[in-house]
Amino acid sequence: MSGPGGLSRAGEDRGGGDVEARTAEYVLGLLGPAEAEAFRRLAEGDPDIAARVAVWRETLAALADSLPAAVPPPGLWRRIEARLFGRPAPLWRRLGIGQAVIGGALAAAMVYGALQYGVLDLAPEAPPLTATLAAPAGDRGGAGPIARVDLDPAAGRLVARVAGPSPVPGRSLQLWLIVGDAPPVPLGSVSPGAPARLPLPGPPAGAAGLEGALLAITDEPAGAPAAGPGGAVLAIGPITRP
Amino acid sequence: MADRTDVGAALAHVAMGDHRALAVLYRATAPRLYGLCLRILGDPAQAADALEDIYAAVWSGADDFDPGQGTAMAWLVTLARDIAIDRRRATGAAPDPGPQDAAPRRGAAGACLDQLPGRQAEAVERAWFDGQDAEALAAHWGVDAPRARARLLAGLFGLRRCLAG
Repeated sequence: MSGPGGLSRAGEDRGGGDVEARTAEYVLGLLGPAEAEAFRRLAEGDPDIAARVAVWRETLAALADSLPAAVPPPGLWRRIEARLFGRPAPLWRRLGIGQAVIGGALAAAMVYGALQYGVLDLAPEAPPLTATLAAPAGDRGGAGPIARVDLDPAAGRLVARVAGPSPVPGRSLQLWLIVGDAPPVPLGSVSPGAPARLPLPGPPAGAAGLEGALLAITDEPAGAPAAGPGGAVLAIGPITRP
Repeated sequence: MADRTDVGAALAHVAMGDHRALAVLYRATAPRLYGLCLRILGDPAQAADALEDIYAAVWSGADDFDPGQGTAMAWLVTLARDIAIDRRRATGAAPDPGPQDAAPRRGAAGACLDQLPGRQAEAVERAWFDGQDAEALAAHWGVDAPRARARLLAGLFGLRRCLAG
């Protein structure tokens, strides 16, 4: 048997002793179960072996590109999503805002956004407190962000889900807690897309103080949160029981 | 490669439990992985089932990815290939026997395989796409196992050298 010209004999197997050949066989799944497990542990502890595994993985993975790509069946992602995450309800229904109240374009954007969100991943039971934030009364309707915030005072955290336009570069959406006459407390930045998981300051199990308090989203410069809200209030709403 | 950077970032977000990142990853990688499953399993329904298992495995196993052992895309392709091969062995689903060269080979790997001696290229493809070991290759060619193994290793090293060069 002859090898390709230019390749040293050490690169070809001569009885199973060569580490490169062994690595290639490992990546191909050609080692027996005990051998493969031993090799896997070896690779975990030895960066040199790990680097050799990396090269063989890259080499073999390239074979996938020698094939034509193929379009998976259209319903398959929904099937995967349903299996892993459960089917999401449209966001507008979960926010409890009638479709007539919000502009058609924003409603469409919210439904599209809901398709990206997946299910709430707090505990399956309803959150202890919640708030729906919408444009302040008197604002011409529907063009700003809308948010649903779920609060767990006992755990000291909240999850904010925002639908609507993303802030322009250089700006951010900041969430504030307003309890009675006290100065607004900055909670952190939020944005459409992935839910924001933020700490909820204050004493644990302080739910009684939070009910009736307000949450607001304002337009702020990007970067470190300001001491107080400086920009326009884009959305606001009271904290209530679900 | 910009495409691989996106896959790595998406996988990192998947590892943090970001549902949306899995959707991004699916859009970026499903056609390639589905094509691979079709080649390994030979049947669209089996390939679709395998693809579902693959993304479920990605969702639950994304934090097993070790950047020290290769790129995210290579990890994903390796995972997909292993799941599809397992399904092939469990169900018997396979493409029709006979030469799998109906479509020309594509891409850099395809060009490299085309340059190898035919039996070496065939060995690499049978090992990776069909899960054949040295014994199976030996039976296919009517040679002894050590010779079949040497041919496979020669093909593997030839592919690697060509891709690196």
